[in-house]
Amino acid sequence: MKNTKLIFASSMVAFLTLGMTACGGKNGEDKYDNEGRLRLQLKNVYFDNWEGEDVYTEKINEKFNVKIEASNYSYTDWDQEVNTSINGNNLADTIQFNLKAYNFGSTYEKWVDNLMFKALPDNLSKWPNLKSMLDNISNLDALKVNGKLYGIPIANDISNPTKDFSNFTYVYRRDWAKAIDEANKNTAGYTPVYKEGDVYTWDEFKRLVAAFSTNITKKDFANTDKACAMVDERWGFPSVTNFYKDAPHCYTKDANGRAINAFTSDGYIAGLEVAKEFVSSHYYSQDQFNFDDGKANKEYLAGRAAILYDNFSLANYLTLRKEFKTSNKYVNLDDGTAFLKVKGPDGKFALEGTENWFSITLFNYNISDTKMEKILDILDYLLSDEGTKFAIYGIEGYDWNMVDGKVELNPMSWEKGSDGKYGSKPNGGKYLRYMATLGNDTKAYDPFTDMETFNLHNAWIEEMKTVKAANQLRVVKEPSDISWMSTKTKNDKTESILADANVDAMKYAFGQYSTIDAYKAKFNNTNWTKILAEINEKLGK
Amino acid sequence: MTKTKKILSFGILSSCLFTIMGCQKNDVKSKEVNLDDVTFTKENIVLNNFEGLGVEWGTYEDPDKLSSGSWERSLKIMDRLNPQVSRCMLNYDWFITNFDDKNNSDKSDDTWEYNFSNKLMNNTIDVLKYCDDHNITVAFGCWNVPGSLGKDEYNMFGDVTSDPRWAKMTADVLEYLIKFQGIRCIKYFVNSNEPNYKGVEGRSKNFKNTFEVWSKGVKNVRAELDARGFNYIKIVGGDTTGFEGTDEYFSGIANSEELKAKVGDYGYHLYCPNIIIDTGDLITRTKQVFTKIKGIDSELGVSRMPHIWEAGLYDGKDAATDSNAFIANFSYGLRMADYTLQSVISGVSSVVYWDFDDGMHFIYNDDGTMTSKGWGMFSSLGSDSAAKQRLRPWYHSSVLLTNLMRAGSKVIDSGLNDPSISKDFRSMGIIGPSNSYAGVVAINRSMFTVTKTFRIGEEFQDSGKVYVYIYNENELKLGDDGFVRENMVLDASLNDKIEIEVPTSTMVILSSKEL
Repeated sequence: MKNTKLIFASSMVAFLTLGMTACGGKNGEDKYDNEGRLRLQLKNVYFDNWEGEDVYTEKINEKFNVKIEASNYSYTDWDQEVNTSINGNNLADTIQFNLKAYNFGSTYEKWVDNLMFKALPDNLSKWPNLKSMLDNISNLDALKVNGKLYGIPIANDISNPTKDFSNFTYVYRRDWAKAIDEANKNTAGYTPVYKEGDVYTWDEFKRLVAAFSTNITKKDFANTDKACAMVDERWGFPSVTNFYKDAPHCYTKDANGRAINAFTSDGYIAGLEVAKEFVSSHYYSQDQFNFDDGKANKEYLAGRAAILYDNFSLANYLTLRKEFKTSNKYVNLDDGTAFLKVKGPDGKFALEGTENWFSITLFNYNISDTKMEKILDILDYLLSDEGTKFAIYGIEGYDWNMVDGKVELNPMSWEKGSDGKYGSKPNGGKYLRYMATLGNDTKAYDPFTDMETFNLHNAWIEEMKTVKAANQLRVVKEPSDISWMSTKTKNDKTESILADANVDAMKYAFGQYSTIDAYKAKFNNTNWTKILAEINEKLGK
Repeated sequence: MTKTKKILSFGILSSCLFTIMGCQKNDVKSKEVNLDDVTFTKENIVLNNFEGLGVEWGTYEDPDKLSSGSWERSLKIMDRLNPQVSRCMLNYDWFITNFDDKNNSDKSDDTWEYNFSNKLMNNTIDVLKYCDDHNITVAFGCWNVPGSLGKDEYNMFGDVTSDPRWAKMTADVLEYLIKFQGIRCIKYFVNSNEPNYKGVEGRSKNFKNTFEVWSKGVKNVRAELDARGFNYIKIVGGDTTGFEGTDEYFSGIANSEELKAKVGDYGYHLYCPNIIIDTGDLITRTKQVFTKIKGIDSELGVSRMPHIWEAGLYDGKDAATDSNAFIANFSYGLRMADYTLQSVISGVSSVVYWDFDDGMHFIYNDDGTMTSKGWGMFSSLGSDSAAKQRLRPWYHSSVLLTNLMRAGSKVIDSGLNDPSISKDFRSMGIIGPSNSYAGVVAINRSMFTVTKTFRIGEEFQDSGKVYVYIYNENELKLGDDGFVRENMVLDASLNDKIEIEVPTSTMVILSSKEL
């Protein structure tokens, strides 16, 4: 009886609200729990290990009169789980999708056309914090379909929206570099390989790699024939091409502005030749060809590689350092996981470009306007100053107090374990905030942040920002007008040709194609021809 | 007339001060609530026949990892803990052999055998025989239906415990233990661990479970146990985790006449967030659930008692290692004591702490290694650091409670524990079985030392002594044997008023018997 009345009432509200906000979905039937709270089924890949029964989620439920029912995607099966739920039309109220330029047309756009997602309201002024965040999202217009935005791109760092380079870079065994110099210090004419500050010119880098390669199999280093100077995570090989190429993925432009194949561009080919040389010199792991995801990290942690290329987001860098500390107890942690900063042959650092967001929170087409507004209300609150404090510190008066204008944590609530670190304290507010931002804006003051690691990571970012400002950093980007362009064959085939191209590049580097022409010949096929023609037609070239 | 006699100098007892005030036992109390003057009287008895405290002591998943002498040490530690309830869980996979599904989908013609001659069963028997010898009530069960994730070789993940083979396996294993090994302590069966926790598809055997599926499993198991003559073994009604899932399963049980007749209690697990304990809110929440269920099933708290079969703290849990970062902190013991007090005065009839020994349970890593789960009162693993092998503070606080709150005791609320009256000080009185002794548990969670008077207002066999135990970081007293002992003994009676100054973050126990 109670439920029926509530459903009726909510339908009325939803109907009226639709007129006001024009969200453009259909009004699904809202469900309420037995306390009359609107049930919200929210799904997110970052909800792992959050069981949703914490008191902080209860506070949010109470504040917004909702009942949050959280579930998560397994990170390894994330894409597949989203696809399965969409194909089976079995969606939660919100979905998190790993939206990329290369899958934009084949998934997001298609799904929008198939009425899978509900558009955000045109006027977001009711949610000023959310609106402010969205206003700073890069290439936001590219995500709009018929002028409407069908989700919330999850901001990397709302306090630093102009950062446009990725964290795909190297860490290295600084201790080994120093040890090589120490061992050779009495050799006449010896020039040390280690560079103070970890900044290396291209020649210095090559010399360092060669020195690692020569020494790594010896006693006091890896002491095994399986060891090598460099390993790249599977997706990043061959990382040395970064210092030559113009675009990170399939497409770039020639001097005339015409779209061309990035994998056969002059710059990329030059980089690929260096990769081949590094492989044939055994600088790269000879097993690199067969690496699974995570294998490069394992090799590095096992002390069988001196340089590791990976996506060093703060979370990944934290993991690396945590695991390194365990597996290399007697190595100075900072020396064992130092950022290696390499200038390419052009004298500039090179990093892949990135949007300032990662993945997108989408709304089930069938949810009501009321429900969408509730979710937006919650996210807007969690992005506010008050909501952010709630998400990071907890409940004022129990977890923390404001003393002289500063947050003071309550030691009874913020307790440390025998390792001197704060023990976990699951806070639904923090998890829910991940639906809008990855939370990098709060890392500097989040009590859970490992500040030593954060400071090292942040110093690297600040250094890269400084060199970028000095025009010493080349941010390697795919032209955005091509990235987010939608054409039939591009939509259908980009993901597969990208995968194929990466394999072909690896095969060339490992000598499986006898000549560069044999490599290039792999790209002479209908898909590439059609896609480039479609893009150039749209570009008017 | 009241006479006051200071019996201790401040210097001797550090921060915890006592004064005994002889008084009339039946003095008329003012109607005004006096938070500092507590008399435990029969009007506030919340449990007449408490069932005792205990600890999860399951099968050691790799007994080979125990170091030499550690089993003997563990038994000594268990002796001092002196529990009266326990929970022992295992996996049927450890014993099933020669499974044959006859290459068809008909489950009724499947056959299998058991190999009970292995170290896991040997260890299970060791644990259960100890429980037999020490009159410990055991809830026995199997974690999940058998089968490996990703393989489901017995095809049981779909039907979960409603699979008819589950009931047969259950009865087979119990039959082996009871008829062939002579085990007598198993009084409850756990129809799979935390059935309401579904987990993530592909990573949980329980993903397809529902209340209805679980209920069907309970009915099947009940029928099979009855058919084998095990009608004295009760089935835990729930074994759910968290308030929400517990509410769902308890409501489902309470609303079904058939199911009510099949289960033996209202059993649940609770890993409680600190804030709920610290603010006294656990009383409110527990009573809320019980009041609701009692409205449907008047036998809750009468013939179907509420039991907590896994009790622990939520904050500090590291999901990756399934350990608690605070397990070695004094605060863990204080909060667990507070948790116990709040649960018991809300009507919970027994509490089983999670868990006894880090050496029992493991996380199985992708690389084939095993990491012990750190929720124990100590670790028996020789491979663990000396610090981990030491008895943790919460072992000592638990020893005090298990030895004071014996089965058959009366539990008396102070009448002042409601968080609307006092958020950070709680107390309860205990009168032992057949009025054989009495005790008071007082817990100060505030930031300040408080002064209170306590008196047991009911008759008991008074020893003329009051043993005083203080649990806090500075004053916990351990004997030469490493076990907790009293801080002092007063020549006094708990029937007289005893004034105590209880320091911040402290539990004080007064007992007429040595614990």
